[in-house]
Amino acid sequence: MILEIRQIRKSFGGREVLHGTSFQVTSGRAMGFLGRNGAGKSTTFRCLMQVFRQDSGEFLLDGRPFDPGKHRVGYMPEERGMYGKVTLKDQLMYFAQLKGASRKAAEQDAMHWLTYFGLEEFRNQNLETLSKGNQQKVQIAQAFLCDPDIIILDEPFSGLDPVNAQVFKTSIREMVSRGKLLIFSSHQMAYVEEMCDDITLIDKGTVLLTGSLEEIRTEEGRNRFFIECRPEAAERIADAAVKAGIFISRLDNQIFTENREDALKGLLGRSFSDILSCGVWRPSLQDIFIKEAGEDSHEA
Amino acid sequence: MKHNLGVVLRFEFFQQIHKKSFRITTGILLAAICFLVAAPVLFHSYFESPAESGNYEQAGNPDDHADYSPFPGGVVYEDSTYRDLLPFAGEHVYTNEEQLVQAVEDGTEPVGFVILDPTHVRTIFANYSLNSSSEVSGLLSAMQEIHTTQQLQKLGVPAQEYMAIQNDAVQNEEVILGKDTTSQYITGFVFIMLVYMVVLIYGQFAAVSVAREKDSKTMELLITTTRPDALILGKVFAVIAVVLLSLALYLGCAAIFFLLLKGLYPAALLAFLSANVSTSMLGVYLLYFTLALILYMFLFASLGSTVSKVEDVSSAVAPVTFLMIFGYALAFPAMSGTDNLFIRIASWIPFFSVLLMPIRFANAAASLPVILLSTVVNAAFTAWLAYISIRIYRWGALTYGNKRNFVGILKEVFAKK
Repeated sequence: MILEIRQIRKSFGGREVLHGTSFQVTSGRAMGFLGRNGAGKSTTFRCLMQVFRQDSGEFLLDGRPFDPGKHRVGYMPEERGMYGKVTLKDQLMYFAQLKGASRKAAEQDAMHWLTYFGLEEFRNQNLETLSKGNQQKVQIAQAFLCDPDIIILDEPFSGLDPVNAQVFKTSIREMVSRGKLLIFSSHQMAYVEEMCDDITLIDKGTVLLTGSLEEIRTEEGRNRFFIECRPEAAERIADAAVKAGIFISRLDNQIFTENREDALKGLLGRSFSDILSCGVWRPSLQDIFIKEAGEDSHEA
Repeated sequence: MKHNLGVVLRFEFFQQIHKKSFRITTGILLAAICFLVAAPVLFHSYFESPAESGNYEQAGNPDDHADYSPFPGGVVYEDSTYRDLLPFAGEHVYTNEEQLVQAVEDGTEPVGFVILDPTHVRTIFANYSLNSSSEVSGLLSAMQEIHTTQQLQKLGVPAQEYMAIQNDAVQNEEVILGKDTTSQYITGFVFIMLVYMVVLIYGQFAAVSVAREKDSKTMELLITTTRPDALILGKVFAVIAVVLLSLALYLGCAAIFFLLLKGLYPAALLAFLSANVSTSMLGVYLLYFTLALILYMFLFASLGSTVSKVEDVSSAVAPVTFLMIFGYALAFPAMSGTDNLFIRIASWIPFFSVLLMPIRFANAAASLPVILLSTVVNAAFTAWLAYISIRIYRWGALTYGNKRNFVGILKEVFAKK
């Protein structure tokens, strides 16, 4: 399946918050949807889920208009909320039944995900009696009910400790390996980098980058070479790079240059004993995010 | 998207009836109903007709004063005519008024009587309350009887003949061609009270239930999982089902207890109930009770969705509460038989019609065709209101922020494409 988000525009009170947002998500490949607070991630998800109606543009699934009511969709909104005074089992069963499961299937499904996330012992406890992390796991479990084909998760990692995050990552990988179409937003670059095949970077309602993470990293690092050297030799090597006409920037003992083989050969050969590592630069997602969305991306 | 009305209804219904507060309240009310139904048996004597009075024959005889039950209180005979005729025991007879006042003040006597002459008595109370007059009435009627008998004897009129003349009252044989509307007062009163209390209590409950889903941010999850009409319909019908279940439990419990204890009921009370409780009207009351519930629950639920926080619910539903109070105020004159133009017009306005029309029908102010037409009008209006409520609910479901007035909300709801 291919979910196409095409030229989505949305305004609130006369202010446009999505300016023709376009990207596509393919099943079997996890898509990370990145952006700063207020960039338009949740609005895009809400338009996709028909919580709001977009002013223009369309959502297409395999080329046809996408109606979430006609597909098995698992959705976890940014605004967390389930029934605080209802037991975990009862409310997961309720949501499974709302998604079309029979009572028996709903009970089995609810128990499966409660067990998966280590919440079986709390099944007859009210949600409000659980820790925030465990409440978050119930929210995620809710999105996985009824074996959805399409999974949309808004900030699923927030509130999870590293152990629970690992459990969740495993579940996402399983879903993706089973060919599900999965898209999630996050601020935690490390998780996205680790788990996503594709990314879309949005800022102020405009998509800045979208595509394969690997290709983006390659593209972003293209024509750049990095040299990590001994700290005491950094200044000398940087000066030599300037003289060779390939110097770009320096961050402590890391020097970035143009990827020009002729110039680099001489530079690397002369400083060989001071170089700790070197190679074509592959930027981290954090680097890409900061470069594209701005240096003041405090959330990232 | 599947229409999940049944799923929502079942979930909301069982969530309600599994609540501890619901079970405790139901248990207490059931116990209270059992007690009320058993009360006529437990307090049998209270419901019995008072014993016939009239001891003219004996009262003339000074030895027959024992036929009167002893009166509570002490007495001073300033006139000795009644000294041996009134049933005061020796320890309650005082020689002068000062002693009697002292005895009343220190609580020895509940009340004091100073017999001044055969037609004049002064009563001394420690404190006076609504019940105080009943303490005097027995003595006064006894004195009146004795005085009348003695006067008849002086005039040479036999007391028995006088009694016969007195008992030969003019008989009125009433022929009622239609309904005896005076007998409908009690059922009408119970109906109005029940609708008023249930609508306000459960209406608030329905509004809070919707507002809590917004407050706890569950709403977005719900409306992306199922249709908003299923959510609000399921919620409203669950509340109605809970009310009707409670009512069935209370009425069933009352009926079973009544049938079990009927044989022990005082005949006078059975006759009273038979005259005042019309089973033929119960169907109409039940129909309008249900219509009132549906109509008002939709209103309350939709208003609950217009606020972001549970604490704002009471102010949001205040206009509907006033509507209900106004209808309640109109129902009282209608119950007492008033059927002026104002009440007739109000009885066609659905918000008040659900209260007034059954009362007018019970009072024979509205005919069967009128009540049938009114039922159709109310049902149609309720269906329209349900549609509006669904629109308001869908609009309100994800609208957070400052409260808005109802007219503003309606404008926004219908301005949306």
